[in-house]
Amino acid sequence: MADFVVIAPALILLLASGVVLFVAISGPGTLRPVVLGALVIAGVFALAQGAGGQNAEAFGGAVRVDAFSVFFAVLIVAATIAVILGGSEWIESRAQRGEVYGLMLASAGAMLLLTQSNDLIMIFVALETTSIAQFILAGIARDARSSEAGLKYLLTGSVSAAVLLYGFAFLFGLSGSTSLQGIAAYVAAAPEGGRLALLFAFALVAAGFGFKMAIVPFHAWAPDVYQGAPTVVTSFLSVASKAAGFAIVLRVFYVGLGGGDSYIANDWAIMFGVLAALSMTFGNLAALMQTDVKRLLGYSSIAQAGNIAVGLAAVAAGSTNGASGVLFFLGTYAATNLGAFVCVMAVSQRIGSDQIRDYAGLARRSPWLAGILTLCLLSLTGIPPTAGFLAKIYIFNSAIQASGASEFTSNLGAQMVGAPPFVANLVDGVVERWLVLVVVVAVLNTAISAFYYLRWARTMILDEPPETSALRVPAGVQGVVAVAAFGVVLFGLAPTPLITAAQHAAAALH
Amino acid sequence: MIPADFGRVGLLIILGLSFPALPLVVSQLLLRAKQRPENPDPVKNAIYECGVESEGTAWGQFNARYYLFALGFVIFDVEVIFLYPWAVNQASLALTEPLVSIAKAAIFMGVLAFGLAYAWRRGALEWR
Repeated sequence: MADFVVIAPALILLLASGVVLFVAISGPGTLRPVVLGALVIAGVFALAQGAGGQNAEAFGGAVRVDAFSVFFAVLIVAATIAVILGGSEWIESRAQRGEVYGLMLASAGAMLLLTQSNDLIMIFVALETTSIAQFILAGIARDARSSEAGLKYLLTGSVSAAVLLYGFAFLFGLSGSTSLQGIAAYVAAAPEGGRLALLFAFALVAAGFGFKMAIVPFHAWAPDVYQGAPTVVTSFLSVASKAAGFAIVLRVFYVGLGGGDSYIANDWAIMFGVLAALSMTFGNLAALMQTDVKRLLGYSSIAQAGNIAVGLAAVAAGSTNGASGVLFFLGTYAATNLGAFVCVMAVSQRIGSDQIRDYAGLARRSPWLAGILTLCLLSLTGIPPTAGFLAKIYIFNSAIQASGASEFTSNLGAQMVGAPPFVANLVDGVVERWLVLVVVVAVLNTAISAFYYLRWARTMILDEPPETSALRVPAGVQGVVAVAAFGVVLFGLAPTPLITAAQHAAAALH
Repeated sequence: MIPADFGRVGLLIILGLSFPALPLVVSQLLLRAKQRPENPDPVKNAIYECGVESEGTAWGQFNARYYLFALGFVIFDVEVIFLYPWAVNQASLALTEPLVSIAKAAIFMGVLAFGLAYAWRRGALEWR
């Protein structure tokens, strides 16, 4: 029984999902209060678990509730509430609203379980539960675009699940254990004979999770699904699903593969460094050419996943701030992206288009939405004083710190005296401090991203609107975007509480 | 230790492959040795489908409506897979936790029954 209390927040959401579906098939009824009530109760329960400050394990250690899982539980629940409030106009207008609510609750509940999983089997079950609910959600609008999105998501998701499971099978075969602690014990013994097999296994695992995080080269589904799926579902995928993906990667690679202390740490630091650079560059270059806002945000989310992966590389390279950097980034990204997506939902519901050119002159038709959307775009670019700026600084700084570049530059002065060895040393130093190169790529990419984010903002503010009628937005939606915008500014000006929470959560992984 | 474990799996694979292959090989050998007759006719060469006459080719298109029934069937399939080991272990479970084990199975079946009820209610069992 005590086991079920530990996973209560997830259970509440899964039970509520069943209740919502039951009400939906037994006739017309109001569902939104049940959905929001369950989410609030689950969130409060998770917070209470966190306030207790104690780590709890359940089901023989397969589930572990600690500050890390609580951080993500609150993040995921808050994001789901925001998506449901912001998208309620669309959801309530659908015949399948019961299914939308039920699947969202099931998916969110499974995400909570995923961030708490401490065992390969539990991880897989939770990951598949959340994914399958999302496959259906992506195709739920039943038009050609949405069906295509659902099918593409299902096919790529199934393949990546198979790849992930193959990696898990290797990890189990090598270590003889499905628990992350058991695998950690195997890795800590640093068996040279198993090194290649271990690298192969974690490359497969990274590929499987890479699909959830949407990092290059496992991103191909993202633009099509983001564009085709209903915007409500897209926002849910881009915030909650991505956060859960990064959460489980951090837990598996930190707890299971020994973080920056393991003998294979350098290998996966390089792997994530390369993936991060590829994601940022590809995502931003592809986003430059987009005319559809949802597709643009799809590529932008690939690029942002690359930014977060810089933090993963920093973790592997031994940074103490890498993990908290990932958490802080995900927190600010949730506020920023939700703000942007809810604005897009509200606007496209009214102008009936997802084209950037149809956003022309939005500032005159709805100053409120245009202002907040612009603020979110500034934050996505990483311009102060928004949260996105601090998140980038934090995560890039952790990478620089891990690369040891600061001591390198101070040594450089001493080496200036003899010129020929200096050049050789410089080359050696750069190769050795390759993580700095990743940060350089990241900063260059920020400049590229400014182009398409700000071009969109310029269209909204400077261009002539096709018609001047004001866009009326319900108070609920205005409230959600206001809270998101408040978060963007708050985390940008007073980030200390969120950083403290992120550091506290990351410390639980040790 | 590990080779021995995989050895068992290997043995199972060999056994599994030889089970269908052996009759075919023996039949061919008997034919070569002129120990069995060979008088094929259309009925003998037809695909065996439990006595039902086969229609068309295997590459024909199937009605998409079948998939709903296939999905519904999965409910019962999963039910059996999980209930079988549960039933086998009842001998010991009935002593240690008699009511709890029944309740757990009841919850499991309740979830599946709800799935079926949902499919029924949404018209998945109608041939439309």
